[in-house]
Amino acid sequence: MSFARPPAADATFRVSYVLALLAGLGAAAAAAVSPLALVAGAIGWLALLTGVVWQVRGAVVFGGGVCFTAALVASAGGAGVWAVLVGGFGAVLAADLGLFGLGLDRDVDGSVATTRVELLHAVASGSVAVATAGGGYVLYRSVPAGGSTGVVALLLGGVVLVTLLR
Amino acid sequence: MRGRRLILAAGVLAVAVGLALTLAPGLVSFDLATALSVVVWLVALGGAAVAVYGRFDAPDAVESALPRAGERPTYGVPGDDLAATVATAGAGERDATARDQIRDRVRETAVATLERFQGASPRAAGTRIDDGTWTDDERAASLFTDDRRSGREGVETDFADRVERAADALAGLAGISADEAGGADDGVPSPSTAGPPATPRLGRGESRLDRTGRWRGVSGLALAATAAGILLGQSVAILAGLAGVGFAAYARAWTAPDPALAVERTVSETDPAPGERVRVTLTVTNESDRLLPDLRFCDDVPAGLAVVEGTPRHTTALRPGKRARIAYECEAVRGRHAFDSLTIATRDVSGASVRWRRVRTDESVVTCRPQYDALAPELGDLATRLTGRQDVAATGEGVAFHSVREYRRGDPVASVDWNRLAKAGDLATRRFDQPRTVRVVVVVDAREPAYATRDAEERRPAVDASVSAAAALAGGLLDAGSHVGLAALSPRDCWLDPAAGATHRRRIRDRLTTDRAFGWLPPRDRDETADAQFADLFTRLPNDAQVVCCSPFVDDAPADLVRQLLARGHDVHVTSPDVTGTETPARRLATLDRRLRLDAVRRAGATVREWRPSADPQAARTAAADLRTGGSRSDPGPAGRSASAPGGGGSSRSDADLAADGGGDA
Repeated sequence: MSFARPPAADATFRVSYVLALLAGLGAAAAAAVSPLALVAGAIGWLALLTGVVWQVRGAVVFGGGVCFTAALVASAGGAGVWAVLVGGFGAVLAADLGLFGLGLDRDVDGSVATTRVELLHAVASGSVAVATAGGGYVLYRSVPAGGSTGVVALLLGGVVLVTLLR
Repeated sequence: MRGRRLILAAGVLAVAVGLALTLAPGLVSFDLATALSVVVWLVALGGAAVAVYGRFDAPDAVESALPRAGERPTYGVPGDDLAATVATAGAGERDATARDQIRDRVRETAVATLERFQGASPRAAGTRIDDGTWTDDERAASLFTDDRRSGREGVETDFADRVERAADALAGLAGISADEAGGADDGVPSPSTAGPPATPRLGRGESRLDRTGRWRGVSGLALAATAAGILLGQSVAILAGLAGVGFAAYARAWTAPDPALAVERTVSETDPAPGERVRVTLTVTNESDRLLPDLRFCDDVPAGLAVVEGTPRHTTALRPGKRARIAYECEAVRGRHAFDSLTIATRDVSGASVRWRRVRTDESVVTCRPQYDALAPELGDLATRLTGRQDVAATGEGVAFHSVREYRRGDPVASVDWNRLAKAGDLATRRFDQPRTVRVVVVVDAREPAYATRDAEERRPAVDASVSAAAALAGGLLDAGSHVGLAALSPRDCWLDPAAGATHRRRIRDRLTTDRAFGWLPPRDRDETADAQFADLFTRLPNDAQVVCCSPFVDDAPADLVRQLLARGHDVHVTSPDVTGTETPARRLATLDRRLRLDAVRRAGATVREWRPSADPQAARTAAADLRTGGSRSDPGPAGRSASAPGGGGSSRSDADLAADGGGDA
């Protein structure tokens, strides 16, 4: 009888990681309208890559946050509506999908087929992103020029308050 | 709560600013003052990002992970606790007490070592330690001398290094080196490959709904983007913040489902041999009428069983009526292993909430009963008054002549030495050896400290080796005609009165195999002291019983027990599996400590045998067969030595795993 050692954890390829990196890449690319935004996006994407390769949750969250910041920086550099939307939503999606993959790595071994549950999560999150971004875009285009900042701020504030007061 | 209020205030502010800007779009212009405000705000944004990170990351950590099933518990290697204590002791005055405690512990060993291996008296040993002449290594000696402190009062530098040097110097006095066991001196205890398995936090049948917190802080992104957009005068920036709003609402839209699940488990073998693989198949069926977007489950694999193929953890999305099936294989080891529960986690599609359930299942029991050789130790003279089969220092009716003594009134006429009376005219009585029945209680050390191991990766505790020794010795003693009892030195009670017979033999082996006192998880009751366990044992132990104590001797309690047993008049025989290592100075010191303890009990009057735990019982049986048949092994070495069972009808029993300790018996 040989006393068995526990199976070693292997690096696992997951659909979530690929989708997270694609979302992060999209966010970084969309924000690349100014050098500063480009640098921020690149740093964010590299942090995401580091997070999913080395299984570091903090790096994934940091990467998503930096990509989101890149979208804000890009907006100051004259980025278009779609660029900002793709940047902002792509950053959050990248962090979400990356963290979901890391959670799976923590809970199950690499040999378990998880593609179905990963795709389901990705489709649900993507749908939320598309619906919210689309609604925001429609709202943004429907308000008169010059007053859109106030309207959208009003909208956001209201939503946040409603969320907090639930 | 404070963060929530801050966000609430920010939301109110956003509403106010939004109203103002809606009524007066040109209220904020982009000038130098605004640019400075942007810089300040971006710094604030960085702070917000850090706060978001903390809120985003922390709650969804290990505590919400599935249990790490299928791995045997992690046991400590003797000496590693000292190494860890030394590593945490700093050089400052604040840690002076901790350093002194460590120093006292090492000094105690140093005194005993000089006494034992250099023949020094306790006083002389203390003097040599105090003046630093006990070793040529000045750094090792400086651990105990006054010149150890340099510079400021209470500050002591290089403490860990000097402890290691002292440990090495002491081990060297006892002839213990890193090469003895072939270990490499890397100075670093081998880390365990994984942490201890997470014990499911729920009792069987319980459930709990948790927020994972993975989306917490995402609404802060919306506020940050809104504020940035306002300050920059770029309304488009606010659109990025919609991501925060959308996903914050998404996270609150659902809660984790509480589905009806049917669980079915089958095991391929319920009575496997040690090392045999047992295949476990688990089927989980979604009997509810809704989709489970994220179902994760983990079979509660009993402690001791290691999964060697497949995995007991699984995740899937499960539609109504569908089922998920997993299979994995465990390697059987001694014990009764009951599969009776399953840990399930269901999450909503966003992952914001998770519902934990510990589901009872039908019990599937796997019982692994190793076969043990029968090995008999040399026994002492303490015996009952019952005639039996074992030669002890008792006289009476028998066959073998013992001695002659002066006749006393009442001696049987048949025992009178008539020849002597005829020759010398003296009335004398002949005495004969009288075989007696010997009672032996086998005590297995199953306290928490005895759950130590030599190899942190192998994860076989010393208790398992002690159980193997106890089973083999009990079998040999029963073969020799002794009445054998069983006791566990543990907070978990286990006691069998001394008896004989085939039924009792099965009872003993069954207890050693299945009793929870000898399970693979250490006892958790730290309140019950060793003294209380000793008292229980003394209460039950018959006065005329000899004791076989199976213990790794990795702490002082077994030595105390042996001394107290000897003081109460019991013959005591120690059988000790060695789980100490020599890879690091601290482990070598632990090896030395163990030798000193065994030496102390030997000098107190106990017989001591080293038990060589064999990783492969089949190999041990082969070696035993070689010894029985006078096989080709010319030098059985320290792990091969035959012993005759006293009074055992001359039968010679193998003793492949029982070897005399280097110091010999007292």
